[in-house]
Amino acid sequence: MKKNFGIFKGKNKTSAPRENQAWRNWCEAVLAQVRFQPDHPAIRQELMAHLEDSCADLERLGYDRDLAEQRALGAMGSASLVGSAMDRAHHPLWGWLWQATRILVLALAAAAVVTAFVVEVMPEMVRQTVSELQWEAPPEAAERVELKHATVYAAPGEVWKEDGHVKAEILLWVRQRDPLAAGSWPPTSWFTYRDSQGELSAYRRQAEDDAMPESRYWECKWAGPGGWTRFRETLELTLDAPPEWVEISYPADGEWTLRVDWGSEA
Amino acid sequence: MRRIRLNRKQKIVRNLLVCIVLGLVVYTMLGFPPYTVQGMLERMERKYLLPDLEPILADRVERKYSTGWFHEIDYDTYLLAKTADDTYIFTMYRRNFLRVRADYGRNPKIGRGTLCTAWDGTLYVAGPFRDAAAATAQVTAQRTTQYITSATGARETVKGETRTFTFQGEKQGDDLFAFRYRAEDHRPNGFGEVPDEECDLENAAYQWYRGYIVDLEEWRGYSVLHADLPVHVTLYGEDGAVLDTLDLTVDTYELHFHH
Repeated sequence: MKKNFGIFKGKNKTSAPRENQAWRNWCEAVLAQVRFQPDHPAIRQELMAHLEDSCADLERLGYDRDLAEQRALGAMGSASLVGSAMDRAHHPLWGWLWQATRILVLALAAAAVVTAFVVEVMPEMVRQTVSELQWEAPPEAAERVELKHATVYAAPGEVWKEDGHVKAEILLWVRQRDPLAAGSWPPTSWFTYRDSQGELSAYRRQAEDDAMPESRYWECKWAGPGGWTRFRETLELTLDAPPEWVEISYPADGEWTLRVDWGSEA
Repeated sequence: MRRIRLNRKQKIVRNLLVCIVLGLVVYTMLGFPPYTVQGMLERMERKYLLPDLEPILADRVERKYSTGWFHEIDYDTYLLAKTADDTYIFTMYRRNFLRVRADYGRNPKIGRGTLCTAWDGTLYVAGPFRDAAAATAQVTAQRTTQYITSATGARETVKGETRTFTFQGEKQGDDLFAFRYRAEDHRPNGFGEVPDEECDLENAAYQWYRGYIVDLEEWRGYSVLHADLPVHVTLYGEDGAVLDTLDLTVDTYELHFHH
């Protein structure tokens, strides 16, 4: 049984490493068995520390230095057996896999930092998250259409007179089922808007006369802010008479149609 | 607190878990970018509210350039797809390293029943063409000059000569005809005017549509106008008989614009 004699003893707490050729040869014989080269320095250091500790223990028991070194080496056993055990413990497959995962972690951490601070996505992510949380659900009375990836809602807004025309609002909501299209605005500008007198134009130069429309057109009045899955938009219609209803269809001639009804009150 | 010592296998598992978390963080920060055609179609379905898109054409183009500091490569994927009820959509995605942006520098195009678009010297007409064996396309360009008075916003448009370019189509599956409109001896736009007699459709779409600001002495340049060019497509059956005709349009920028 080893005696401590009240002196602190711990790994690597012994005196400075000594140059012992026999120890070094033994270590090299052990390492020759270990196929995973990157672990060689650490294994060598660990073996030398063991030898130093054993030697220091023996010296404390009264052995002289040379004898303590020999006995310490003898206690370590066969280099071949130790090497074989070390090779199993430091198998190249696990060794290289471990190294690969370390590099992958570093690469991904670097990518995360670059993405966050160089590509400057953080403000957009914060804005989207805030918008998602602040999104107000459409009223129960809103018309809606259930699509494969989203639900589209539409409801009538205010109607008022301005500059000899009638202005009317359409309120639109889109709720996506997953965030894969986050950051992409719903295609409301591709929707077709039609009332009892026909299709309304978008507020842009018209192909026929290269002029902006004076009436019977729609424009986006307010959009967003969009969240990860939720979007909100207000369209403003400019008409000649108060609207009774407007049908929204998409795409073009209508795979689906939503009807916004103001009734006779408008 | 005692530190938990992990063996090598446990460290590998821990590192892989950290990789998954970091990967999800990066992927989320990049906005869930698609790296495959299937992924792009799934994004298109959501973005354009179109269900069950099937690809008709996926063309990937590599573009190398220098930013002064770095040599970079963009990978542009042009996609033409359709829904089960014959709604067609054309769009493009640009990937730069890990980042993917949709409709970058080019507007998408959506059509019901048929769709006509163009890129890189080829006009594509998509539609239900199972019974058609051959097709021709006639695209008519008309010299259009617009004089703009910036002070009032007034525009005076002067129309000039017209020229109709005819192309033979190549069938690419049941839903697509491709018409190569870039001539063999095509002279690129932007390197001096191409004489009218040497103009192909790509040249005409660029240099026949010009806008000038007339009340700014210091402004000597011109703008290249957007215009919808009529495209008349004739479809032929196996026996050479005319099956159908289509009247479509294509924008001048679709015909001449290069990214």
